[in-house]
Amino acid sequence: MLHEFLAAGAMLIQPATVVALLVGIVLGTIIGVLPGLGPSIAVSLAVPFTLNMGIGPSIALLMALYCTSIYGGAITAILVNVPGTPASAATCFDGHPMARRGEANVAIAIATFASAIGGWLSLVILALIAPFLARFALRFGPLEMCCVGIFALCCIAVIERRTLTRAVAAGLIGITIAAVGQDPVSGGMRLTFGYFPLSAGIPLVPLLIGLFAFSEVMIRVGEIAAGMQRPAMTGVGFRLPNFAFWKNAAPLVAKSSIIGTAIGILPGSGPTAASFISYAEAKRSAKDPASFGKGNPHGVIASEAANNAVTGGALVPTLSIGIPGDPITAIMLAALVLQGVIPGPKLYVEHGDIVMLILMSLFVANAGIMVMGALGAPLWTRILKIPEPLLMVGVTIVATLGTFATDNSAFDLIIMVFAGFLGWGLRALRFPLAPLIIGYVLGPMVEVNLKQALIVYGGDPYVFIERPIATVLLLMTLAVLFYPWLNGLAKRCFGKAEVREAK
Amino acid sequence: MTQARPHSRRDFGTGIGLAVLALVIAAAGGLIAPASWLDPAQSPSIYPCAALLGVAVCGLIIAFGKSAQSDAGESLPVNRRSIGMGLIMAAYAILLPFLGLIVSTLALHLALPTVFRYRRWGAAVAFAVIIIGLSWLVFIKVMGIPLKL
Repeated sequence: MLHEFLAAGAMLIQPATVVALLVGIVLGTIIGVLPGLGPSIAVSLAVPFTLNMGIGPSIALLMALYCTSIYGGAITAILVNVPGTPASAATCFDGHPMARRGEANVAIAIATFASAIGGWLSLVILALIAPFLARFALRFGPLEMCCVGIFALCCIAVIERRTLTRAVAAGLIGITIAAVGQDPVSGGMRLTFGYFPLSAGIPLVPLLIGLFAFSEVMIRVGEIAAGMQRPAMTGVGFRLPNFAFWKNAAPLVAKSSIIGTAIGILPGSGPTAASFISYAEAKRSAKDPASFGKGNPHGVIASEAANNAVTGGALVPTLSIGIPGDPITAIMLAALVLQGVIPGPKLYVEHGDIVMLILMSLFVANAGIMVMGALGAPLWTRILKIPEPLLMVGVTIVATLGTFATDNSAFDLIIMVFAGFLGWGLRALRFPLAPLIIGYVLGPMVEVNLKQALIVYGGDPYVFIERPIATVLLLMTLAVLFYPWLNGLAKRCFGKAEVREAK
Repeated sequence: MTQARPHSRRDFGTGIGLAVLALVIAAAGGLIAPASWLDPAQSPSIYPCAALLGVAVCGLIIAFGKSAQSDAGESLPVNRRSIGMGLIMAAYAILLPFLGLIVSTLALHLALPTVFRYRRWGAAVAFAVIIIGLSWLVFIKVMGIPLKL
């Protein structure tokens, strides 16, 4: 163990590895900041370069890009209400209201700190219990994955209890949008209306950019026309809240990091789902859930700690059993294989130094997030000084180019436009957008696994007795759905008991 | 406790519109095919159809139910200028691959005085030059996206 640690340390302090780490940290943050570009683009752009590098620099570059590109998305989410990456969509809900009331510097500092801590905590889990967790994750069959998806979808009811009917409708619209194209099981087409490009489905990036960036510009123009002046956004720089704040937020950071790591381990979920589920849980367990969505710093913590914790979690199955959990880790798996490293159960025995190097690179990259946050925040928050009309035009240009760059597809731009008008219409009619994204992200996961479970178990309800994990997940779902009634019932019962005691 | 508010005309219109739209999409998309629903694991239509029926039910609740929750939230201003900006952005996005970065981006900046009443031409031109330069560097030069200059 010590030998491997020293060997990895020696590789890490090589000048080429240090340069690769620094380049990865800076470029990853910039790519994350640009709307439309995210970790998958960052990592896939880097793969050709890694072919000409040694194993140390290539691992350092990939890990740094992976971590920091997820973090970078929070900056645009906070400053202009446009998530730089899909994983930062939940950060918009409280990060941008904080920026609007002059606390952009605090919001960025919180996002930075929460991201780094989330990444580090997930690393601890990756280092200590990766092989065990990977074996446990293998017990998750289609039934369990379907139950996970349904449980996460029910979080919509938690996030938007105030606008429940509209939230459920938005969630179902998201599920419908995700269903466009080829049926994943039978291969039949649905909702394509005979238009061939729709057979590949509606991609996430144009949808997200349209829903958030495009509609935000339209709404802002409408507000200006209606004479509704927003207060000038201030708060340039990086201001970390005091120790008391972090002491109070520590349980939330830990809980969000565990949620992120756990979601990351499960295949097919990813940072977007993790951040929304963590946000929902933070709101459910908060003393003042009504303050969420209005600039509660705990909303930023929940989203950012969880989405960065996914990095460690997603690497658990990738490294331990050689099964990537999402497209980003699939690209990294390919890059490792090209370097002659075959992930799997033997990796820890045969290439312990490489595993250690991956852990160390991630550790340094998460520290790099802190440095980039502290040094870059004054620069990023200068965005707030740009006159609003120019800023809106800038957002339009960067969002459009970012969408086009994802697949070099003009059709994606059309989807972005439609999504923009949809987002604007929904927001104007007071439909929340978060449930739509949750429905879009989790809908296919539920459908595929539900259909596979139906094929495997034939709709036999006794299967829940044979598969206890599914039963637990089902009970958790019921608990989330009936929480308000159960809570009310408990309060009534205990209230009566207290009154009796008082008498 | 939240008080139930009387239904507004807007909620009624929103709910009915949503329900009708959901059913029209389900029908036009060929999802209403009960024969295929007998085998739910293989049916491509049952899942999205169920989702759209759920949307329709939510629409009816918004229209007729007296749910206090569905009425909550703040209204956003809907006016011609926001729709105009949406159309300008749509035109920019659709024409960008055909006109190229410079022409389309400069044309977008022409919208500034009309939509935002922003008349500081010097700042607008300087901003346009900077953003075109940065976009060229990041997207065309570094990332190599096939976009006309």
